[in-house]
Amino acid sequence: MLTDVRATGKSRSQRINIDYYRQKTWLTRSRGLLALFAAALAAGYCVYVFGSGGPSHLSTGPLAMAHASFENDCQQCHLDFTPISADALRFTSSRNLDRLEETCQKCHRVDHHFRSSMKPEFAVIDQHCSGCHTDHQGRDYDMSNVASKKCTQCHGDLPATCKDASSIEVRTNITAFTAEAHGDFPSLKKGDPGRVKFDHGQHMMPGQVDNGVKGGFTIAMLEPNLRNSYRKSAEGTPQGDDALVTLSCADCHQFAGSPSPPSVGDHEIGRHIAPIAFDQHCAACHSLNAVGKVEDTLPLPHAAPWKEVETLIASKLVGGQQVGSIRMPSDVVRKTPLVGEGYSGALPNLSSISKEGGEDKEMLEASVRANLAAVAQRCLQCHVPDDITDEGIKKLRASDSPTLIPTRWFKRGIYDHAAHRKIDCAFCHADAYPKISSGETASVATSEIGSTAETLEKRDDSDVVMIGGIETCIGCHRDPSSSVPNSLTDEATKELLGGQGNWASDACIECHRYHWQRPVTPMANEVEPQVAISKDGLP
Amino acid sequence: MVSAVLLNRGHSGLHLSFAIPSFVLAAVGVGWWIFESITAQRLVGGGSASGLACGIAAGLVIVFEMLLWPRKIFRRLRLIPAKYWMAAHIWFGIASLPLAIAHCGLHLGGWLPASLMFLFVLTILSGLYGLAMQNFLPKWMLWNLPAETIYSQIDYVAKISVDDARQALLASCGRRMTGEAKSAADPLPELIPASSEPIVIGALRGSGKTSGRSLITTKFRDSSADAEPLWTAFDELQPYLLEGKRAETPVTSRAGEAQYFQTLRGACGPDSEQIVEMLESFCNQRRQFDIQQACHRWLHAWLPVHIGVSVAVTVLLAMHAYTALKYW
Repeated sequence: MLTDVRATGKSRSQRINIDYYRQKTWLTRSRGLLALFAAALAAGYCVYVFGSGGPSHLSTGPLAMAHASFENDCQQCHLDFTPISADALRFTSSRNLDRLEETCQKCHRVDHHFRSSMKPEFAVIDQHCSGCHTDHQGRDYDMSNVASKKCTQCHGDLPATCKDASSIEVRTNITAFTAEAHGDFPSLKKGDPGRVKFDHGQHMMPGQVDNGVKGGFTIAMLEPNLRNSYRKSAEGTPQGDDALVTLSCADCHQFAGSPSPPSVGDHEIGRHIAPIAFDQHCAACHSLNAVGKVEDTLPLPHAAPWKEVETLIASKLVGGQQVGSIRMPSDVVRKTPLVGEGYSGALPNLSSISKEGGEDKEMLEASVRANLAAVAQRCLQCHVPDDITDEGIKKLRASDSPTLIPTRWFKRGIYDHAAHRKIDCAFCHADAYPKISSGETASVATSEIGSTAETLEKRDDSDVVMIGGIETCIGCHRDPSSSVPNSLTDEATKELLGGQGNWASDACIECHRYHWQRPVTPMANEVEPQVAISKDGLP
Repeated sequence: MVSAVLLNRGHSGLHLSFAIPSFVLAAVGVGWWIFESITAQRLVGGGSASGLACGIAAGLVIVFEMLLWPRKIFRRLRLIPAKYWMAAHIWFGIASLPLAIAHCGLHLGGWLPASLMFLFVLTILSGLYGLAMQNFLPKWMLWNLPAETIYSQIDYVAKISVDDARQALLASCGRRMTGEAKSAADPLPELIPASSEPIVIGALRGSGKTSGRSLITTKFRDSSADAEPLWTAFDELQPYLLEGKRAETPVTSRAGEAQYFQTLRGACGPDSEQIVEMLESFCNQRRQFDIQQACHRWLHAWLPVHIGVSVAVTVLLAMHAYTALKYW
């Protein structure tokens, strides 16, 4: 059909549907559908998370292995709508901090770190456990591995941290473990606080005698039950009894667990050197046998009250006389004693001994006094007079008394001997070794038999602290990016290191502990540790 | 609103008035976070002062972005001109991404915040894609698709063009003689084999740089001598004119079309040239319609994705804000 000749407005308008805009296209339909679908999916996910999906979807990372058992129980640590993160804005009220600390203390019973001395803004840092021990870093994350910058944020400028800067007893600006930034160990600069006179140099000499002096200690001269402890072997052949006693470091210093654990977690065998005990380390040579020592004679007890010693000496004298093992001056000389008579025709009896003014009594008392004096002389070889009085002995025997030889020398640091067991003792304790005449230190000579005693010099070193300072540590404990210092590259040093690696971490936590005391206020039903706590109160 | 997406000199004032504050907002937030991270010697998280501020800012931006939806639903209320909404939507939305990244401290956290961040980035990327498309394709279409019509009316317009072609053929060649009519002695009374009357049909016209579709009134010459090939051509072209490239016809491809009409011209006389040109014009128009459909999908298909993902982001944002504050 033909249309009109001219196009009219109506005809033009009919070229398209006039209500086209009302028609829904695929775009409109898909837009609405996708929006609904997305909303439903997101809402479903939310329901899942709040339901069975659990906190794992909300967690910023897996908890460390130690906390993994309550990974899905956020309420163990988190308080609803209360910040716990170290980053969090300072909404950290005391209520939340107290709660967080109490939560951690349920399992980790540790004390604060001089919090009462800190300014409030730093006390918050101390109280905020998660500030240093951040969790949600993965199963294998070591939460106890605290970065050094956590320490230096306060120790880098201690006066700014403390309420009273004048009360600070340590260096006030420690920023790194270097000689300049850390300084030497102040504990070692205060001299030897020990009250026992001991000369390392002399004891390290063969036979423990001075240069050129004959008559040194031999194996035969030691207490019989202790001889084998000091009998060395050369090429598989043990020393004979006539060999000179040659001491090594290990003869007196043995690895042990912590002798006095004031801090938590320091109970590992080998971390410390066992305290020196007279009966174990000294008695072989320094036994107290003032009265007629023969083979198998039991020595007098060490650190016994003088009354006890006197009684023992008297009983040895009388008893020995009775059995014929001791001869008194009044005894008639016989070649062999007779039972019931001894060496003389008549043995002193109790009545004659106790008779006042009697000859037997006077002789016995004189002998006792002489022996006591001899014992005292031997005590004074190592002890100061005040320590061998009855009062002194009583005080030392108290369970809470400090030891005469310090059990720990680093007042604020920990040294793990086990971790350094490959290194020769002389690397850090060079002063313990006698110097040879050329001025060099006999390094491993004392562990070798047959060293040339005549070339060793005697020194009086009983007051010397024989522990190397920070210079012996920073060679290995340094920044990982730094190169090996020249001091570790010479052959002699390498031999001393014994194959130990020449790099170790310089982190503060290698040697220092932050929580080194148990809380003052025990929790209900808490059982105190059975191990005696030293009153040194050392970290 | 459509023109507001155009990032050109004409809209520079509009966009700069939102772009500059957005940039300042993002720079301040990220700068503060960087400063706090340097001070702390690590990347601070969302709970820190700067992280929290950035997170709140990004969250508020997200809420503002979603307000565009009710703005469009209640467009009759004319709440602030739409062009301002669009410009703010674009620039604040772009600024929210660095703020969100600063808030998370370059750490995705658990599944929920990671999902939120992923969807949020997807939203931003889809929006940027749409912005790019809106700035490029319409101009291209304007220059290259003069036959462009309303997208939803393409099939309708195509049907009208088929009717126009039929009318032109009837006017020029008369009615197609079927087998039955051929056997009849007299033609049908309504047939006018060759009309001298002009007819109005749609056509593509151009004048200088301007071209487009319009109606023309034209008078076709008598082409009854070529009625058979022309009607055959119409039959062959009709599927393509109606369905476009979905139909398998000799003119579906551009090369095939050129060859087809060359052959058709060879089969017809010079009087039929007008009809042949018209048919070719309609094929060209249909081709443009096909391109227009493809461009329309490029231009608009991102929008359902953008909307859907943004809805999911909003839901997850609410949940994240609640849970993050609960387990801060």
